[in-house]
Order: sequence, then structure tokens, then C-alpha cells
Amino acid sequence: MIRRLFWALTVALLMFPPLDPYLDDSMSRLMLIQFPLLFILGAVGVRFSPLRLSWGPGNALGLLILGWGGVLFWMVPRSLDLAVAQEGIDFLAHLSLLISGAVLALSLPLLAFPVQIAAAIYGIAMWSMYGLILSQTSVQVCASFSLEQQQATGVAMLWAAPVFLMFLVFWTGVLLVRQGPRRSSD
Amino acid sequence: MVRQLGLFFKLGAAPLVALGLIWGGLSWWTLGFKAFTTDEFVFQAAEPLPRLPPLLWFLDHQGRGFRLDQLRGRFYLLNIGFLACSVSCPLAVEAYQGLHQKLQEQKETSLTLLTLTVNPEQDSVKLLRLVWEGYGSPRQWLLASPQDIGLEAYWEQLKAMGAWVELDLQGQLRHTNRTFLINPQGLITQSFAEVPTWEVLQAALREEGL
Repeated sequence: MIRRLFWALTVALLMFPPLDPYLDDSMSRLMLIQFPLLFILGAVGVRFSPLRLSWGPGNALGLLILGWGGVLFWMVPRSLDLAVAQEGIDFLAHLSLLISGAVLALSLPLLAFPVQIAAAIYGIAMWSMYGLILSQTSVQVCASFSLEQQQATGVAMLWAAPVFLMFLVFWTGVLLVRQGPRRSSD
Repeated sequence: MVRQLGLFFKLGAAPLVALGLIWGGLSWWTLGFKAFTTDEFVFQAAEPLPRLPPLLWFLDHQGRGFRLDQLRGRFYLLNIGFLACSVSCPLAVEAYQGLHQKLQEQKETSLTLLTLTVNPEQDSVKLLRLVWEGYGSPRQWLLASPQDIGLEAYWEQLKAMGAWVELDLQGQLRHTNRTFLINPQGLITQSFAEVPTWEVLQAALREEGL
């Protein structure tokens, strides 16, 4: 119960004033704190929900692709500008990132282990590529943020990418150890 | 129908459907993958070039009135901004100062730089004049403020021209850096996502027959 309450409070804190305008005001805070945290909270939220899927891997993969699509949409500079400029779109962005996180958490367990790893690598690659674009482009990509903010965010995203990768390697190791050695009959 | 749909998903078509949805959605949102930024979107959504600038009255920093759609007889390089802007205007001002210096060095008198304020409530003609003097009184650079039009209507007109202006949730003004070239016949014939470099501008003017 306390965990659920804490989860709900954190989500509310991130989604609404006074913290939301503060996070929206800087591209780094938006891209490196608010959006990833909402996505992670969406994934964590699945643990507190009775909702479980019993779909086949094909449909689960479709759901996974839709989840990543939800994230991809908010990486389009035009979407980001609108989220910063309009309250309704800002709320929609928060909500869809929460849902994308939840969708990923629901679909990943239904997929084979290599597909899970591939999905995570794809996410990190998408994140790194976006960081690279932001850091290297000399043109202002988002009208709402200055060129300096944009480049600083790109560099920070590139620094964060290896951390995510290390975490992925560590988590893969943990899962493999938990799984135990392969038996010949497998 | 429902059974057929069930079979469709049983055959593992969901990933294809998801990919199709994302592909179609992104294509729609970015006008066929051509407009990923707000600037590109507003520009693509506006009428194709060449086109007349919107019918708007302005006062320049000297207090002289002019109508935007009646600029004739010379080239104008038009951009938008406001004096208190700290996001994109400092770079644009620097670029305009560089262009003006080149115009003076090359003795190129057929082009005038024009900056329209998007915040006329704050940027009065008097203030524009003070800032213009602060820039070193550049002879071929006009700063101008709109007249007889409400703020929202003015921004809508700028959007129709292809330049985006909006108030963000914190009440700060945001705008794109799109720059427009108006030819001596008074038509917008070329447009740039940022203030063009001297070389790009020269190439554009050559294309216009200068």
C-alpha cells in the first residue's frame, strides 16, 4: 500500500506543478529527468496492477513496437515544442510515456530472452542517436530551447547511454545466473 | 469478421500492424517525413513560394510607417525576434551584424535587413531605436514593430507567412528563426531555416538575378 502511494505521489509530482513547469523549462531536465522517470514509473506501475497479458509472442512483439513508438513520438522536435507550449499536449506526453513504460513492462516478459535484450539495445541505440543528433547539430532543433541547451542535453544523453548499457549487461548477467546452466535436454 | 481478425493476429501480424501504425502516424505528423521540427512544419503548412508577405502595417525604429506587402524596389532579408529573447535571438542578432558588416564591406546597397518584433507590447519604437543605436546604427538594418493589430492576430499572420510564434506554459515567448528573402517585386521568393551565412545569401541573390 505504501509503495503504491509512493508511486502515485511520484507520478503526480512529476506530472503537475510546481515541479512540472520547472522540469519543462530546461531541455536537459525534460529529456534526462522527467521523460525517462515517467517511462520507468509506467513500467514499475505494472507491478501494482492486476493487469497481465497472456498473448502469444507475435502480439506481444506488436505491443512492444507500439510502446517504443510512443516514446519515439516524443522525440520528434515538433512534438516536444508542442508539449512545452500547450498544457493539454504536455499532459498527453506524460500520460503516453507512462503508458509506453507500462506497455513495455507488460509485453517484455512474454517475449524470448534474446528479443528482450534486442529491445533494450534498440532503446539504448535510439537514445544515443538522439543524443548524437542534439549534440552535433549546429541548428536549433527545438524552437523552445536554445542551441546551448540542446547541445548540452545531447552530450548528457551520450554520457548516460553507456550507463544504461552497463546496467543492461549487469541485468542480463543476473538473469542468466538466475536461469542456471543449460541442460542438454533444453 | 472477428474470427478473421483473430486469425490475422494469430498468424503473428501484430508487429506488422504496429509498425504500420507508427509509420503512418509519424508520416502524417511530419507531413510525409518532411517536417520534423516546428519550423519546418509551419513553413510547409504555409502557401508555397513565391508568395506575398502578409498585409501588415509596421513602424520602423525611426518611426517611419510601411506595409509589409508593399516593400518594393530592393531585396529585404526578413526575420523575427524580440528584444528580451535569450533563446535564439542572440545568435540571430550576431548573424545579422555579420551580414551587415559584409554588406558594408562589399558596398552592396540593394539589400536591407529587416527584423520584426514579435513582442510589440514591450518593444516600442523608442526602445527599438535605442537598441538599433546600440548595434552601432546599422544603415541597412531596420527594426520594426507592427501597428493596428492584436497580438494573437499578428502571430497568426506570421504563422501564415511560415514563422512560428507562441507563448509557452511559463508565459515565455518562443519563436523560430526562419528568415525570408523578399525580392524587388515584393514577393517572398526564398526562405532559410536560420539566418543564412554571407555565402548562402550571395548564392540566393545570384539565383534572383542580382
